[in-house]
Amino acid sequence: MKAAFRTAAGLAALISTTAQAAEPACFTRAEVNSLIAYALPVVMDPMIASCRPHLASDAYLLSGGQRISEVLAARKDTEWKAAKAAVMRVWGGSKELDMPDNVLQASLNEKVTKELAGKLKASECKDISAIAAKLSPLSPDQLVDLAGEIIVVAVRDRKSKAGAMICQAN
Amino acid sequence: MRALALTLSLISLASSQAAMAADAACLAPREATAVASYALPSVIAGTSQRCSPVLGKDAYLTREGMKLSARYGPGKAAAWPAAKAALLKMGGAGDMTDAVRKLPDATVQPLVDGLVTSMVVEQMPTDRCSSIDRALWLLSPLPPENTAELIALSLGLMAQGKNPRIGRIAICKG
Repeated sequence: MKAAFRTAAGLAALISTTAQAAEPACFTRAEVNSLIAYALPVVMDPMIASCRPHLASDAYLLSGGQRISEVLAARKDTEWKAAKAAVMRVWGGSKELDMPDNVLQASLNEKVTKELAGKLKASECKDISAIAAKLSPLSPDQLVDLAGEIIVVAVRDRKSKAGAMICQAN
Repeated sequence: MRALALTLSLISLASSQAAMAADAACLAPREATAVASYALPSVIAGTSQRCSPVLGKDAYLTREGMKLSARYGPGKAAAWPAAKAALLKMGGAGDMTDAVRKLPDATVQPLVDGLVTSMVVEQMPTDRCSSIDRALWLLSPLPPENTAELIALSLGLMAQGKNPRIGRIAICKG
């Protein structure tokens, strides 16, 4: 589970590698959702691959989790545009972001895959699969909304970079 | 989680002796889950009462809060024995706890339900109503048993962390 959080944090850190210090701008709820909608399949695919050896063949993550990832991945071009625009607006431009989108996306995928490969323990995979199964009545869009809400609430009132990054009015 | 903390603090409201016990004891994740599962309908009802005037008529809690509370009602009976044991544990040893232990469930349950609801109504910060409304709306498609199991999983994960607590109630380390 920690690895998943590390990956999400790494994804944000990668995009902001050369970004300027935090501007007063912040991510709106819609932008947070776009970032999550793009990032979820990027994280889930290597997570599923990493967990496959630890899980029973009928584990929810390997079937339902894969379906959710596929649904979100099918619209990754739209989500990418919105997510990148949000990052550019809040953190400003950088040399890395000036790369062609396909190169930047491939770089992100590679780094996330490297971060997750073989690092998830069996217990973490079972927890992730169990939580995903309990959330299975939610649609992919509802999952994205819920994840966004959890992030917004988690960072609210925090006197940290993460707290400043998410608009308090969300 | 705030609602869970309020619920778990019930016994500590009853007496200072119980408050001391609440500081010393910890609840295992399954015990805290039982309390949460039992108290959820009352917590949701109390939250609806507290937040509806703040949120307005179009909010999810205003429109559907009491229905959601009723939907969670059937799970209370199964959760009660473990929830009662956990609440008595938080009460610690003493006359008050013994007295509560001896009371019939039919007497204790309405007392607990009323206390939970009134605590939420009195203490829930209204600046959180909007977030709670949205979270409950987002979670509303889940069957109640899934929500209970998510709470159990979350508490189990929390118990693996450093100094796990919900408010002033300690969760026993896993």
